[in-house]
Amino acid sequence: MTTAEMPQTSETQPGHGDVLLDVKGLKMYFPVTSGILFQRAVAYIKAVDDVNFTVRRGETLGLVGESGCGKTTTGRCILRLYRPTDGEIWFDGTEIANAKTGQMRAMRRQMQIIFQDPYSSLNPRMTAGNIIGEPLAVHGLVNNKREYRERVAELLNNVGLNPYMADRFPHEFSGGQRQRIGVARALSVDPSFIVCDEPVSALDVSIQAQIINLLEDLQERYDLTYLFIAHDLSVVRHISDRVAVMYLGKIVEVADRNAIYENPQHPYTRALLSAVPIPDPILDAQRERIILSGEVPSPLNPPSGCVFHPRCPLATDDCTRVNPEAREVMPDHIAACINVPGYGAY
Amino acid sequence: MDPLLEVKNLQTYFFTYEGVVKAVDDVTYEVMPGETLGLVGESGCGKSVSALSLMRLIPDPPGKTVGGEVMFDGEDILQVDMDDMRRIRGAKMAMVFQEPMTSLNPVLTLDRQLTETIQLHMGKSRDEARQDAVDLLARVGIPDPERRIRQYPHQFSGGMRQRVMIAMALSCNPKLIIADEPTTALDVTIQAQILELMKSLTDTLGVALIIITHNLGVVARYADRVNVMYAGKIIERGSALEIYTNPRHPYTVGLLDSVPRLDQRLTDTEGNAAKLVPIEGQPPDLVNLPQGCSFRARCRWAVDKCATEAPPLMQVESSDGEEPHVSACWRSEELGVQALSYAMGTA
Repeated sequence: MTTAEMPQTSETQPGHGDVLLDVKGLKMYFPVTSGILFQRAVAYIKAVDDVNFTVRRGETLGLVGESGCGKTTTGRCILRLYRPTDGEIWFDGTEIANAKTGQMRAMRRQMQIIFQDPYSSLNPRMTAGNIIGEPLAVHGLVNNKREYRERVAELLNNVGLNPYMADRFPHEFSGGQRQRIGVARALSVDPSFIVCDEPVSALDVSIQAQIINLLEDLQERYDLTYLFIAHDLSVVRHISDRVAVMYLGKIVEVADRNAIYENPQHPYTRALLSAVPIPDPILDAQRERIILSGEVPSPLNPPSGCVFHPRCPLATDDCTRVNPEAREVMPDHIAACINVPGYGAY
Repeated sequence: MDPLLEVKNLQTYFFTYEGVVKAVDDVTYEVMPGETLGLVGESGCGKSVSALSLMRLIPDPPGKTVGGEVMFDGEDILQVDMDDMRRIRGAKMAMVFQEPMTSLNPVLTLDRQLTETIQLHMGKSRDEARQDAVDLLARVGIPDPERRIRQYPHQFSGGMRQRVMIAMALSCNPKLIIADEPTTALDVTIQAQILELMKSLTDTLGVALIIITHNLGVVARYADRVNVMYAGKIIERGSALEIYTNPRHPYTVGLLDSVPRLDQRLTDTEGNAAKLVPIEGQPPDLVNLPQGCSFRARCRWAVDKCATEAPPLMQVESSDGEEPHVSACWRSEELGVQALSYAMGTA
């Protein structure tokens, strides 16, 4: 299992391994409380339940899944916007799942996030220039006003906006331009790793391509590593090097981009891919179409055994009992399904 | 065959403090009985407003349908009075809205919401209507309909609520259903369920369907004919096959090029990673539409003539002989070959 081999790399060779981010056994449970004065937890929502994956330096790992599968929570745990319930997060040789607030602040010079909604993620009372420049001041990256202004202008330029727009407020920009401001803010501290949390899903189709191209250009120019969270499988295929598929708090399949899209192993991945229509009537008519029955169960009360078994076309009796751990079913291709040929053979 | 719906020169404007927003400007199209028509475009292009105008649901003020004709089933809907409109709406034409979360009344049980329409339009008794409603819920795939019908909307998931909306739309045997972004708020696997359901129900019942969406894939899979809208106007129309294999308007070409697709090649001929080709710039402000073609500012093929004269919809050569293919571009004819080679070179 690759995930079990990873710890040595990150602990023994800090900063020099192939792996930039190593997430091991990550769990994030949100308590459901009851009582007014003395709130006690009566149940837990298992938003992320024992997730393992690695992100290699310079690559883009796509994280896909339907809403509520825990992909955004995973991204936020990595940035420590939540304190994980359990598990380890190794970033560039440092364990950060239990890091203190001060340590984390320093770490965030290395890791940044671009949010989904360009309308609510920018402070409406700050100018674009101050939104982009605030991290510079917080981290003490500039010495004086002139440097600050020059750096802000440079950042605006890098994301395809005009430096004179620094004095405008967010409402004066269109959705695509706002997302560019969000990108510039993330870039301001010169990070090595960016979590892109659905960066294009709130944008119009013709604008989406502009932002995707921008992210690709910046990755090349600044050697960035991306964790690209999205529900749109076509976008993820375009931008990712490797792809991880999540379902109900668990990762069900991880593989190279081509392997996932051309040779998906997990029945959920197959259904997900077949549900995406292709804008070509002839090709689309020839594709296999798997329509899943039912809906995603509640993470409050997940099904026994494999969480996907109530909707799975391949489910057997064993699936209701055994919780399949993610294993290699082919070299570099991990799937969590006992019915995949090759499961357990490696 | 006579068309079921004929929209002629429809104009719906919004009179705001900033000026007159020409949300739908001179739109003409028709829907044949039983066919599925796709209406594609980005947000703000007027696709939803054109549908709401057909239902006479434009909030007035500030909105007003200032011109045109909508012939539906032999009468001009824009001329009938509100009482008659109430008889048509829900009975002969029904609508499925985008947001299943907000389009059902949260304080009434499904029973009340479904039987109300049936009692009103079909003149049935409460008990008959309830039986019909239970049958409908079963038909749209809601398990245990006798129990579920007594529940409130919050007890249903998004996909289930959209099924309820479809049941409601079908309840009075309409001739036309308008689905405004019916699956945008839903997850991919649920989207597929709902679209399959709508398609199979409208096919078996012979109901015409207008699908309004920004998702080109959805239209390719489910529509017979496609209208592409930009800045309040229809800029291209043809059979679904024609639009996807032989697009003749620069905007349609741009849209097809700019979305990543599952079947796309990921590297170009030299082995470099393929890039998307975005449509540069922003859609125009509908208050201050430029003279000439409204797509000109973003268009790769614009010529001088585009700045002065707005191109009308003109017939172009269609490989699918039956169905006319029209495009509002001065250079449609020469564009055909060029545009496709452009798309191929980058895809």
